[in-house]
Amino acid sequence: MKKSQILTTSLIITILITTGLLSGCTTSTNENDNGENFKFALLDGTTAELNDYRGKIVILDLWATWCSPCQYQMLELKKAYETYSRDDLEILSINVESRESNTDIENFLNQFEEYDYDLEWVFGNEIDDTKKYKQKPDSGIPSICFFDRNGEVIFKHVGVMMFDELPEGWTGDETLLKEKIDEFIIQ
Amino acid sequence: MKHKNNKILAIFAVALIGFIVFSTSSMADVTVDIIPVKPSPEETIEITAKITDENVTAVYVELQECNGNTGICYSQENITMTGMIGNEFTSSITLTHDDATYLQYTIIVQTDQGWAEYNKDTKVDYEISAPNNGNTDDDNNTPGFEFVALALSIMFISLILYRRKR
Repeated sequence: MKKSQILTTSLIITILITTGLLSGCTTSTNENDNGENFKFALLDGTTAELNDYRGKIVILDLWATWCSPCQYQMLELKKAYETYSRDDLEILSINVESRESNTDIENFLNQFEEYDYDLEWVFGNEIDDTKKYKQKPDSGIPSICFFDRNGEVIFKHVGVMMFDELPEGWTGDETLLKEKIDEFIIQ
Repeated sequence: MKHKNNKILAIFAVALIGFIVFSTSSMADVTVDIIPVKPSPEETIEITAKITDENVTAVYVELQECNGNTGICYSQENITMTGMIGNEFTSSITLTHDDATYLQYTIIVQTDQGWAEYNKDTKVDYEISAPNNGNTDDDNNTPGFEFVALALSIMFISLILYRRKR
């Protein structure tokens, strides 16, 4: 066998091995991602997925415009949004009422803006399936679900969740948003 | 020139009056009655909507139940209201959540001109019975075990006394 032939053959083999190894790496990365994923529509008409936010603690907030407690929940989520870095925490407020359009959601957000409450996190609708992210499949709203940095469900809650302080005479659940976020960020 | 301006002004005024009359007449007036006025959780309520518009083709009620203490709301699907006499529409709805403290409703009216919402998210508080602090009616009214024990004691003592006498 000629020297040049040996060189060409070994070069081809090296390329094949390298390509195989690289493709193996890519596949293994996807295989290691055992986190949850779901798709939802953003208000600008594009689609997003939960796995777009891997590497952060994600709070999924399920709500509807007619739900007064959900409006209260937004004010508490705003405190969380302003307290933590975007590297650590992202909030996805997904409207679960099929009868409510993007315009309804935008009008709702504009009402907050009128009172200088800009809700700047991710808002959307048309989520694939919400049942598995609720405390019980038939639980009401507001419903909160925490995902860890790998997209695994780590906490579910139904009803208003206060940020760091319970109002006087509060009879609801006493679990605080801040306590949970701190706990999950450290983990 | 002045005459022409008056003419334009008159046409504008007539158009404005026409628009106001048309817009007010096309807007239906909806009156809602709920029986009972203060429902209890899981009760069946009757909701009646009187609608002034003659061209109503369908009426729906959108109803949600909420718990004001825990801040939880539950949605129900659009419920069709059936026509009764004239423009009265009614629906019988069984409330489904035992922990709810109020309901809210919106009446949706369909006419030739499209959909319109009335009485949007009107709140109706429930009649919530006060907790009885563990003292149930059963405890107060039923003699039960105590009475049986007393009767057995009397019978036992009577038997001993009867045997002693003999």
